[in-house]
Amino acid sequence: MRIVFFILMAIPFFTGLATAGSIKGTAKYSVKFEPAPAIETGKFKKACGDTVPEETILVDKSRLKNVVVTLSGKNLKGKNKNAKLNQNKCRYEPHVVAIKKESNLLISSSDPINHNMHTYSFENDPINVMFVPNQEPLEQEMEEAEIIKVECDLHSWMTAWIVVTENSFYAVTNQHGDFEIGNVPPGKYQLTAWHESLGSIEKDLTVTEKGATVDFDFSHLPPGK
Amino acid sequence: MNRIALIASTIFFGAMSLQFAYASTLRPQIPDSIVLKGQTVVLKNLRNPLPLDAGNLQAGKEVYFQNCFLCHGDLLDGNGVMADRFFPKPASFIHKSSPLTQTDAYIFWRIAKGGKGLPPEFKPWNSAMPAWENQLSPQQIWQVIHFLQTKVKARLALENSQTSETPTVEKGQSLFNEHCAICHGDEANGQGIAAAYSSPQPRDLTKGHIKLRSTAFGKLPIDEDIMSALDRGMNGTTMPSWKHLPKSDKESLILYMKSVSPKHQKFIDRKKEHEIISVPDANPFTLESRANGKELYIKNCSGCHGIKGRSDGMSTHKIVNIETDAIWPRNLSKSWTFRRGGAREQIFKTIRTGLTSSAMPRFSERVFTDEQIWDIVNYVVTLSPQTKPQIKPLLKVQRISGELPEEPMDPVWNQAESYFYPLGGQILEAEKSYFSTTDSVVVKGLHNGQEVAFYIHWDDPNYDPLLENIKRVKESPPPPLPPELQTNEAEHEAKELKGQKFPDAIALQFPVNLNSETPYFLNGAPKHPVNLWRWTSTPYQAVEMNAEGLGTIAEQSENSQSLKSQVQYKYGRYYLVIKRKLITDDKKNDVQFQPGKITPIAFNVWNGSEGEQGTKMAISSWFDMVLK
Repeated sequence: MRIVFFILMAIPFFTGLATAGSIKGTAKYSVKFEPAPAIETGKFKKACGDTVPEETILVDKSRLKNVVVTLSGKNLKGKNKNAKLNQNKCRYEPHVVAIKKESNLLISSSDPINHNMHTYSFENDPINVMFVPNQEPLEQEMEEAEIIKVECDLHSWMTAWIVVTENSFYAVTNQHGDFEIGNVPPGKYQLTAWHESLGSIEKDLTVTEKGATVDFDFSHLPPGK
Repeated sequence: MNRIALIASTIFFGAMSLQFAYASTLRPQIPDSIVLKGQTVVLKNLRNPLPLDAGNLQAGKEVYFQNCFLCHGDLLDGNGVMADRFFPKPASFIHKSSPLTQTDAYIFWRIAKGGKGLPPEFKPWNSAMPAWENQLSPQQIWQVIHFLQTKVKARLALENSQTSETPTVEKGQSLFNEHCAICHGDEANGQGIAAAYSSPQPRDLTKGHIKLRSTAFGKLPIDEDIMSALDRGMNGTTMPSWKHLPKSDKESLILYMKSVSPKHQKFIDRKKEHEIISVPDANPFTLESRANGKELYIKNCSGCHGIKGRSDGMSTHKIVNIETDAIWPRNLSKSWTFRRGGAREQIFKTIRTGLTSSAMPRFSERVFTDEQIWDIVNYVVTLSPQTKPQIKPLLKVQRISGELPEEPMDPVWNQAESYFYPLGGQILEAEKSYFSTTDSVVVKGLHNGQEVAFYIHWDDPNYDPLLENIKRVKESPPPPLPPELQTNEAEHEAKELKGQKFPDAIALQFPVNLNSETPYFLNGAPKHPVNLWRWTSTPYQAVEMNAEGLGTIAEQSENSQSLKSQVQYKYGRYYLVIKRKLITDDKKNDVQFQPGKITPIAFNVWNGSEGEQGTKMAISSWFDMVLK
């Protein structure tokens, strides 16, 4: 009985793997704008550096960084994978972190000063933790899909985003705006690209054995969402 | 010992019932008729004309929770969130000599005509009971009377019942609809009718979180935590104690509350277990522990709570947003306002577990050892008196020789006795102040036979920036950095700062004429004027004013102005000295002080940065004062 069950389970799994493709693409933003100046850290400069970058919209040659691309559709689940969020030189690293639900986020601080990390999440347990120097990292399970803003109660410029996804099929665009979601079984899906300031774009797509290519252009969206 | 306790309690309750009996014989005589909006209403034999049906009961309930519950309380016991701010205390409807034991006509009269409509021997000028005749229709008054009578009957029946049923979700839901939905909403999402009049707002129970738990910040509470919240109520909020409900009812409520949030079921499905944080045996209070605690406090707590605990830290502005229910960090100099309580074990638990849905984080064992938390506790308890200061019956203004101090920090003030007076929101007439942020003032008085000076302090985490220009501000410094990380960067660029849109302000109120009937406490009444000394932060001045009722306040002419005042703002607290000659030329408009004569005094406070102005203010009852 048990063996039959395993075989039945394994068939779609292996066939899926054998024929799965990647979804590749680029996030673009071609609007000309004056990049926000770096933030001066004032009396914290010895601990934080003179300035910290303003990271709300990061564009290089019309390519948009920190867009979270998530996939939804039938039979997508995948494995849990832990992620890390560090506080370093008074900024969060990374500024945008994506993590599959039911995985653990390992939160740490490398700074010689206190930080108070604070989320106002509802679906997930809210986080409100003081980090003092040389403190052990904190492991926090992210239970539900939710987009969560992270702030530091002690340093007003410090923000980050935790995007908790339904499944393991997600990616965050790099400095060239590129993303890749691997091992996607062929099928019809919905792909969502989310940016913290510009908002979301959704696209329907069909993934074949060769995968698919999808670009997202955020240029028509006003910032400040 | 037991016998002594028994005797003591017999004496105590004996005295109590005597007092009630005395109070009931003092009940005012009902007039034959009253005039409502120009119409004469004969009170004799007047009965409630509305049928006692579900529609009228629901309407009455809504009227009650929109207008009455802040003083008379959710449980109709006279213990609403504002109840301890006004004198005499709001009536309880559930004790033996309640006004509800009187005729329909009597109750109708009391609601329609309020405190002001009482005969003179009942000191109508000090009753905070509004006259509802202009705000509620007769129909609404009758509806709320139906609600009150029905509710009190149910309450008394409950006290006599011994039922103990098996708790069920269904029973919990029906209890929730009966007792809780008016605040927490039919959907348990915190959006009930009374939510608009409550700050902090009722909890959204669908999220599964509660503020005080034995588990860590953000984690689900255990059943005992919910039971404890029901039994205890939430200090300083509109949530009363439900201790009087049968235990099985409370257990049903817990089952229902857990059913409205999917988190509890998921928790079970995922076979998770609660991690309970316990409070270890307390470390003794020692000066060394306190000193360690102070250092830890300044580094880790003062960023929000401020250097003296008055919630004026450098980071608070980022956190606070009253509109979204992100309320101020607790003022640690008022331990009687702590939600969980001001005992050392309670403070320990709050620091260890944090306060979910507020900015108060938890300080886990990763951050501080038990000993370090006890150190912080041992410092925090010294920031506040252990209990709320008593309200002394008579403000004595001592006579001294020589000049009166003009500055609030003048050491001469240390000799003067201080007097604590509570303030509540002005919720009698629109625009009302449901959540006024000033809950008390502390007052001292001195005179020298020629002049009288008052020292007043009150807490306000925000100062008017204008005061910085004239160097009258001492802010809580930000938490210090380790020496190797310190820099010489200026906190602020030196620039001319603008005053607030609405000033921070305070007014001392006196009757103009000490020889006639005391005017109504709320800025007087027609032909019964009050004299107000009003200090404002923008412009920085104190002016003499007069009023004959709320909203009629007017400045006196320039040649009648003679107040001198100085303010210092320090670590979340305003300190004001205001002085004037005992006798002035403007006898028509100014109070004339006479040593030895009982003089009523009252206070109005406006927190401008929270949008308080005009009738939206904190107010006090009259208190007696005498110049020695």
